[in-house]
Amino acid sequence: MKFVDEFRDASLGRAVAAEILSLVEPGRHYKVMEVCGGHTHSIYKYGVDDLLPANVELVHGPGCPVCVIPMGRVDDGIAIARQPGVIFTCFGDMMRVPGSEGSLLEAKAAGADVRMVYSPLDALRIAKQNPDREVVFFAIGFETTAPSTALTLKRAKAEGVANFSCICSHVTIVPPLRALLESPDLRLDGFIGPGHVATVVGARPFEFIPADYGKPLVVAGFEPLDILQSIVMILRQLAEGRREVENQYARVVPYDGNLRALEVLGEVFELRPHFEWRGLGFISHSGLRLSEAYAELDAELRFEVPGVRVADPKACQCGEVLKGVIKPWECKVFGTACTPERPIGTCMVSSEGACAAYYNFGRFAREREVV
Amino acid sequence: MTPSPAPSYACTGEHCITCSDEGVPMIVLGAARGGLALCADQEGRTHTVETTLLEAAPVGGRVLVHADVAIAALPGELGR
Ligand code: SF4
Repeated sequence: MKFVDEFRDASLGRAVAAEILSLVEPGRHYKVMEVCGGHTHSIYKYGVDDLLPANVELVHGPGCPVCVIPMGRVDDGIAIARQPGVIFTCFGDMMRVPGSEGSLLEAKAAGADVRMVYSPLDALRIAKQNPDREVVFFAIGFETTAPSTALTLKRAKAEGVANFSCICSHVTIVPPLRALLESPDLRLDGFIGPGHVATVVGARPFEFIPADYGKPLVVAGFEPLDILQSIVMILRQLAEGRREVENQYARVVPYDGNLRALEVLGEVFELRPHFEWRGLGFISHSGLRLSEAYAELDAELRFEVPGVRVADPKACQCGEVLKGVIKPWECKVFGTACTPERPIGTCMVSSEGACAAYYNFGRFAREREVV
Repeated sequence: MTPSPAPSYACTGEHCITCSDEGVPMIVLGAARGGLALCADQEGRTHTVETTLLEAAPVGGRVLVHADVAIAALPGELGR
């Protein structure tokens, strides 16, 4: 485990932290958004933020696909799951996301055949094992996960698995970042870019952030030292007056991404004109649906779904958390009415959600020495 | 840097694979057939992995896997 240990070495971590301290201007407050939920999780799991000076604030972005699924989409999934003869499959955390009348887990308890899978290929396997049942996969995730769904749909089509279909809620990372940057209530100094999304799309799609908004973005790996190193790179850009996309995770991420994956995505999916994000509203060209060539495998065409927009519960402040406007503990129901066991909002569902990360790692408030 | 204990309620282990943007390093154990190869993770668990997105996935090679699809070839030793 030499590879991983190097990236978790505490003394190296302290050395990088000292470098961070040397790069910050006293009296200036820095806000850096980590886009990806995996980074949020690592930051609180390893106490990365404890190594930062008080004037470097990490803001948690919209990179947890479970957290951004709106209630109406959950209702659509439940409506399909309740149909007779359907086996409804999804990733584990998706089962606990609340819709307007409960979650998929509750639908399962009430008799629907809802099954957790680890990949779309697992769902296809279930379809092949149950030719007399309709098997539906609830596809969620950013560009890291979408190729897996795309390849499974290609396989289903090639093998003629007619009882398999997919309700597609895949989303793309660039449009919500642009929406956040346009948001007047958010001031950010830079971004820690999503490492594995970039493995697929590359670092190039993020170039609009320095070009159009004058902010640095550093694509980063997920180990504590990766994250600290990416913060050094962001602060160094700010100190030197540069605004660029840099790739801290070059050991895995090619600057132009995985071209084969991008080709498959282009074949199987097309952009929806609009897609609703929980707390962020409708964002143009931010969601994927099946292309015409794969329409026969589209569960939204095969089954009747309500397709209704449902407002979030009044108490829910996930939108503000997702935009980094408030910290999780500032939500009125954090840790009281809303807990990982009984989530009101989606940010409390996945362990990568900002609220769950704060709750699980005891971050009920944050007070640090001011530099 | 010592990790805090993993959340006890988690239904799928420590991570949600989509939300954590997860990539699991694996080693290729068997040559791909029909685009699928047998791979093993760091704990020795075996998985059938789609390798068609890579130019090559030679036996003994290391790959980064997300939701049973290899999305990148990895250099050197295993890591997350
Ligand atoms: S505490 Fe619950 S309701 Fe409040 S922002 Fe977090 S997930 Fe949403």
